[in-house]
Amino acid sequence: MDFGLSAEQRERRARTRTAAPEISGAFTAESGNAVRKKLAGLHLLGAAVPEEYGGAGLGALDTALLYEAASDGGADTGLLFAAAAHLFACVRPVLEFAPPRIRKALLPALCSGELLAGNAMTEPDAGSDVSRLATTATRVDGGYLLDGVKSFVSNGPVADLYVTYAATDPHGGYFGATAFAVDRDSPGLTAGPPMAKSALTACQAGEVRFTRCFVPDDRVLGSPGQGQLVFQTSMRWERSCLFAIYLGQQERLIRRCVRHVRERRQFGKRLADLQPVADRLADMRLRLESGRLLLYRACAGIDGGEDPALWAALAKLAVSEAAVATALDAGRIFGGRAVQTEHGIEEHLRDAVPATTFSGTSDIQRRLIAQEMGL
Amino acid sequence: MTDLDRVTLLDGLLRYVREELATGVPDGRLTADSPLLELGVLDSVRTARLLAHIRTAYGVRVPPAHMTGEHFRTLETITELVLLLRSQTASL
Repeated sequence: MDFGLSAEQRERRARTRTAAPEISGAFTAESGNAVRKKLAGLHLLGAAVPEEYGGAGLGALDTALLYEAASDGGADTGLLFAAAAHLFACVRPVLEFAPPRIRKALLPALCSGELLAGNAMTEPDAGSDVSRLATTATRVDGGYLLDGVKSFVSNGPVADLYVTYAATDPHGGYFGATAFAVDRDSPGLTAGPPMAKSALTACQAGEVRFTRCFVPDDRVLGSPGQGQLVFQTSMRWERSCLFAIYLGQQERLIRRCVRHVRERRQFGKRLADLQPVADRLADMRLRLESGRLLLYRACAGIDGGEDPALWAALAKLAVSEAAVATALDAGRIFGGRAVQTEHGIEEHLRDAVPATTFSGTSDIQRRLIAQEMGL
Repeated sequence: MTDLDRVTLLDGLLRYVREELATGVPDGRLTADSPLLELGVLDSVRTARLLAHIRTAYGVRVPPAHMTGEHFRTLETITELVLLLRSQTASL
């Protein structure tokens, strides 16, 4: 068991932290390409993809360290989330489940940012439950016709490719859904405008609608009926690596809080000398480090070829709940400044809150943990 | 693990599904050739539990390529799959 980083990992972390403040802006018509280039330049779009496909060839742990360093160094949380949704929920399924020819055709462009991908899973009546999909895929000559609406697609308005899930066999139980990689310009696919939202605002999200949208057989991910398997595999990556963004965010918040309590004086003392304030910071550190150990453990599980389901659920639950609690604690420490937009504390809180919902809610993680315990 | 014959394995799996998975299907209707997917026995939660059971009880991890509806259609097909995967592991 080795808790230290290698020289190479330390060097990559330092380089990424230094460049991180450049990761800002939005996917607009004017700046979208520049943003994609910046994300690709730090390898955030193709970190966990082998070099032969244009990726950085990193494993799960090194990918998590990369996202953590970018977040810690000051990259925009919403843009990091957009990159992570692309990489973990879309690029990884293409890498692991697409036929070789499609992998060769898509992966280099997905790693370079020429193509950006969106995960089209959530439906109005199916959030966490992939077995209740209303979107259907009907078998036709040479492929499938997709029909249905995906209601909350991160990167939806700007993506070039969607990884989506549809019911292929109503009596198929666990094997009733199939995963597809669908081009944005497919006839019958309509991507809606960005929805107004209060968190992770740089990541645009919207609806994607399929109306008799033809998808050829070679765009099936895995084999027909393996939709749940593809989704679960992508969620294990997401629950481990994506949440490294929130390790970096907590690190930034704690650093700011430490500086603040050492400088600000009340009742003739530094805030840091007031025991309740020091206790609060100790708890923030405890939550961060506990979540970090679990997240690295989940990543080590993926890299070691173990089934990481338990560790991924534990890590996701711990890190997301810690992110919310720590952003709230930072709010208490900063007092009135916490709600002033210019200080940025309220933005961190807004960005932290959905972490307990996406990639499976905290309740779902507890259920997965219980399941792994044989309950 | 030593030789595991087909009948013992099938009995073990049948007992596990009947006693542990709370399928809602009466025991009499749940047999070796019952269509598990059509009956709704293998939804995502119960499939995950069954896979965990196969892993812990028989030392078999089902690789992605074998995670298909064909292999999980009935307890008989699951039995065949476990035997196949065990023979592959044993020959390594």
